[in-house]
Amino acid sequence: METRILRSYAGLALAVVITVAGLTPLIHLIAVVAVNGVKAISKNFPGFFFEERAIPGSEAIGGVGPYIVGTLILTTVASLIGIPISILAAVYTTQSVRTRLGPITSTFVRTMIEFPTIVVGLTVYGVLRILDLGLQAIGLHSPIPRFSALSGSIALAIIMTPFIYSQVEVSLREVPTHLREAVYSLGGSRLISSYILLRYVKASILAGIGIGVGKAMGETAPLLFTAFGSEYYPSGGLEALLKPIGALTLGIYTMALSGYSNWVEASWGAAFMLLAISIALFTAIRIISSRG
Amino acid sequence: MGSRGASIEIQGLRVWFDSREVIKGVSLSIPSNTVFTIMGPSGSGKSTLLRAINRILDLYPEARVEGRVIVDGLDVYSDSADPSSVRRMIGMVFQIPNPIPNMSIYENVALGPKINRMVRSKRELDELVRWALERAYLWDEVRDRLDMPAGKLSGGQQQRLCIARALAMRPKALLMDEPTSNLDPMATSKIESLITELREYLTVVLVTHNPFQASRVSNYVAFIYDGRLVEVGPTSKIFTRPESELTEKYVTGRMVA
Amino acid sequence: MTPIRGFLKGKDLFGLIGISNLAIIATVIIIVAILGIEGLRIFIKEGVNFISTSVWSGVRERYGILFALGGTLITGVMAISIALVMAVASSITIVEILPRRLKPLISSLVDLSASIPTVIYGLWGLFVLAPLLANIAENPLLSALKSYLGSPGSLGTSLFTGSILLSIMISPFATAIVREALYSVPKYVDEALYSLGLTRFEVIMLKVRYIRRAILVAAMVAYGRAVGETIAVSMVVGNVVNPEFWKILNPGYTIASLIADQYQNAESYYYMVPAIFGAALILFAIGLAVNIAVIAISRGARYGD
Repeated sequence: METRILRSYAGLALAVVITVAGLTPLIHLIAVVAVNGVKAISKNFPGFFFEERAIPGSEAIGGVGPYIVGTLILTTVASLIGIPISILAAVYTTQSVRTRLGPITSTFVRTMIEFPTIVVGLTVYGVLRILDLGLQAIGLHSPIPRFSALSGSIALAIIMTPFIYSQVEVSLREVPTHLREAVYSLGGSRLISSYILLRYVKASILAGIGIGVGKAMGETAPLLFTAFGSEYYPSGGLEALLKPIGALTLGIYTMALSGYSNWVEASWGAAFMLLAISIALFTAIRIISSRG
Repeated sequence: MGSRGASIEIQGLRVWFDSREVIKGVSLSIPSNTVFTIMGPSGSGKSTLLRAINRILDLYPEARVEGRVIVDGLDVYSDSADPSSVRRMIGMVFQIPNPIPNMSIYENVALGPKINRMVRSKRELDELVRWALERAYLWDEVRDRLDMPAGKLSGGQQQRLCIARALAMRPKALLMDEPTSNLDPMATSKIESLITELREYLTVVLVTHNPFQASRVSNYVAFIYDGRLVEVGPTSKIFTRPESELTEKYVTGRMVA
Repeated sequence: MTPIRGFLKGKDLFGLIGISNLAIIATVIIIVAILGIEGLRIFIKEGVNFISTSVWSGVRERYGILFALGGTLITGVMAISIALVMAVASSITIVEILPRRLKPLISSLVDLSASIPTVIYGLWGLFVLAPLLANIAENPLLSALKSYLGSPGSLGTSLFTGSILLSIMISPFATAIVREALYSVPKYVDEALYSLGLTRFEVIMLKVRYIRRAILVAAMVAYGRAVGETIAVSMVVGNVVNPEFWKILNPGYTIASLIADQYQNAESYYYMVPAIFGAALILFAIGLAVNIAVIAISRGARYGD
């Protein structure tokens, strides 16, 4: 009996040790990013947030201003595309009655969730390339260049959609039947009744949007083939959407791999910003979900 | 404020859920401005019958309806009928009080009129909300806290709020699906007395599994068993001289279930 | 018989929003179609050699992604082996061992690690993990194994480094699934086992066995993520064509890192773009197969059978 109890304690201790070992890299990562990031940003404060990338190999650390703007633009445009489509589709799926379109959409969305994000970017590129070549053959120009903020936003919108759609679908399905009946019995059209139900599950929807936006902000791979990256501030108003654009994630990726020490330093600074935003968004979503 | 309630004719109504027939050919005449109770044991189909009247049954893809439901001369299942406008004419109150919890008392009552653009000014809306809450015996209790979230009311108050919400639509008929089965006796009797007043200006179709409630509040009673109409008539007749043995068993409380 | 008339009448615009559903469905179909059409071109050129040989040369226009396929499979398998152990251990700790007040904290920590942008993991991997593993590999003990396992690049980049980083990144996803499953074991199972006089650890082990289906699902989901992870992996895996991909201490490629790494060259060579799409097609196929397996397993009998 003694050995059994000893073995039990040993087993439990082992589980805890492994858990701690597993969480250590995360803690270490946050710490390292914070330390190196703050160090980097303080070398050029507040210029770090506004200036463009420094000359490679120079002493100066430069800034990531264009990347910040790039991320903002990409995320915003992606949200403008992705959020309405996701919400409307989920509303249609849950409130439609006689069609199979809804359940079919849900099946497709389930397969989308695990798409490797680089494949998404690659296919947006592929479509635009074929479009471009095809239109060139008849002497026209494609409206959307392959490497542009718009194509990057489209890729990000595709990536955020399954998360938002699933969240809205689940929360609408969880509305108690009699509440749904009550809303409909007020005599509004299906669209209006759906709108009331959406307001009822507002907190859930916000959480879902938060998750989707967080994903879009943190992705790099899909931007490789679409937004492509740029070290300069986007310019020219709406025209800028049709030109390549940088992003925080892309910037970190290219600067870290470059081998130039000042760029590597800057990438820590950018990573710190990105990490801070991610953690803030994560916390916000948690708070919204628990209050709603 | 007297106005004509709707008269409702149900003709040969049959309802299936997938392949199971739940309502097996029911015909009823519901006179206007009466409290008409549909009673029966659980599973008899009375809630389904009620939901067929305002076409809330449409929300369920597995439901199929045959027959006619004629409200003030209009067949609500005809091709030219619009479900939404049917529902604006006929209000509904449910078994579980279900105000929208985060919305204020005022907003809950105002919801229907607002989305259906029934009033033209805030003042009109205020008057309508007050009228509805008064008719639902709730005005005095909440007049000073109209902005309070509806979820904070007691169960009985919430149910009266739901009644006010339905009344604010100025319906010609009100469908009530076991409205007091989740309430305590005091709340129940309050609602029962308000129901008897309602028939002054609309037709009430009440569903209950409690024969005693039926005897207290209604003018007419229909007894439904296993999806079929067993007997229908004025309340006094049904409860004192029922024609069918089944009915007698039910009203004397001897029917199990 | 009059069926209930649908809502799609002139006055009700609800039906219009179905366009967004169509958009989603169309997007998925387009993705599959593009991968197929473009990828097909390389298969036509190279045939089966595309997946059975190891070569990637734009100049010679010869492409065979065996090295990358091997890299993906090996790093994936290594990663989930570690991640599963982590997931089970963490779930046990969270559900069974931690006092009530610590549970949400550690749980949230795990969930947080799932939402950190992957490029940050890559950064940490490149400048912290890789050098660390490089130092360990210098160790004389391990030097003896070099002929079997190869040796890492100068920065410590290797398939092994990639596997470790992947396991760190995918554990939270596996943990979430196993944790949920462990939570949902009915109380009466607990009570029955304890009443037999078993020690705490023995009961826990039996509960783990009870949820083994969920653990399998967790493994598949984590594998799916590992296979698709691109950026972090490409920062630490070395990105060198390594036909002997089983020598995991050597730098190498995974399919995903290959696509990411080669994108800049792609348009310069005639067949490289189709080759990249072909690689993406294979990647997609692996991911889809895993997804289908997950759905199939989930639809199977309940836990405990």
